[in-house]
Amino acid sequence: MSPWARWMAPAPASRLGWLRALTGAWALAYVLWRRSGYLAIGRTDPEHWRPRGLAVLLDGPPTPDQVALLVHLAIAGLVLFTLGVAHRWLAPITALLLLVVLTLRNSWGVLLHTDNLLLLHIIVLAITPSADAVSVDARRRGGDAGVGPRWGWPVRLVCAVTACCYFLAGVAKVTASGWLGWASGQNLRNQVLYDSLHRELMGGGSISWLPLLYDLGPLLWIGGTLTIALELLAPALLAWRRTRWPALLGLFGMHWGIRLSMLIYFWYPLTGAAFVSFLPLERLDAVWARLRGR
Amino acid sequence: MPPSSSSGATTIRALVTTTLVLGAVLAPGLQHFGEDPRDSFPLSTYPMFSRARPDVERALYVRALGPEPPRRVPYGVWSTGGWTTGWRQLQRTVRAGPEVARPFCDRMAARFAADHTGWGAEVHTLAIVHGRFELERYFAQGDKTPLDERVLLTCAVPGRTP
Repeated sequence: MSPWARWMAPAPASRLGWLRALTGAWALAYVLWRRSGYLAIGRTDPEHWRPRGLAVLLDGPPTPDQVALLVHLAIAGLVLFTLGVAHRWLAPITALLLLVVLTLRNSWGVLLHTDNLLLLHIIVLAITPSADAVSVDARRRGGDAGVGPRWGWPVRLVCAVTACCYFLAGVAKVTASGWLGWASGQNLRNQVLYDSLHRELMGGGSISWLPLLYDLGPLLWIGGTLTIALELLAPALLAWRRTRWPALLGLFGMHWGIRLSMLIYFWYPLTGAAFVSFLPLERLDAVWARLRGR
Repeated sequence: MPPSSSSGATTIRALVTTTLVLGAVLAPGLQHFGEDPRDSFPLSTYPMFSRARPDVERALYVRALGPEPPRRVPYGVWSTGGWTTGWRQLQRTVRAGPEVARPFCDRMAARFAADHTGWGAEVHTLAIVHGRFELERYFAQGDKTPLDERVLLTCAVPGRTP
């Protein structure tokens, strides 16, 4: 089978539907949880305004009221996105609102890189027929769609976006600091310590076990090599069925390593939500039916 | 329901969407091979943790004078974001020069002037400081003192005398 034929292979509509529902629910919970932070950053001194992405189109930072309105519209949009209501029209608007809210969050002096993957997944799900099943729209039409090519490639596109983001992170490391520093583990150790030094000096907390990094030579070597290999080979490792699970576990573990050593929380992959597109989500149909007593 | 075959419209839609999305996601990566990669959002070059870090790091921080021993001022005093946002804001403020850094320092000092409890009530002067730290000495040996320090700017807390 050619790569394109594999890309267009039929898949159950419910796999894509569950992916939309789960990703939407995760994004909704995340925005609700971060809501006070988004509203607070709208009250930052305007001198710290550094517009990025779409925000460069603005003359200056939005007012706190405007930020609050956008955040609450995004929350309302994500509720409808998760339920799959009027998806064709409302989902792109919701994705745009989330794009604006997260762009504003990243326009105050630092690009955080923690929300990129979630937003890209939401955009893909918003512009594809992801509400043909597991949605209010499908219920109104009289039931879920079946199996077909139009529901397969969007799931694969979400998976490919995930792989591409990790691949770019690997390219960034190799082009910025070479292979050797990563393979030796020195870059990994100094990255962790560099981050920790600045965090401590900013009063952002400290980690008691970091001195051990100077006694972990072989482990650092393995960690540095695995990090660079997982990222650069992510597209191949995630595409090939035999290496998919080890690669997913490796990426999941890498984010937990970052959380434990640097207190940086990439919540989307940390919770595993970033990787659900790789699972046979249509099996949730049976679970859902059992829960509803059918 | 039996699997339906791929219609022309589905194929074209898939081709266009896939090309546009993956092209947009991957395009920033080309910047890594140029002179000055510029990151953005949400299409990113993902430069986090990528640059080789030296064994001696330079760092900016804010010191509060008055309490014994002097305290480092936490980022929450000048930033409403997380610590990385506060760190970058401090860096950019200092880089922008005294005409931006001076009022920034004065605003922090005004916040301390309103503080009447805890160590904040003892602060009479704030100093924006540039220090150099040796990572191994700082973390492995636990010696948190900088190799050297340079005070870039000081500002007095209104109503308090040194």
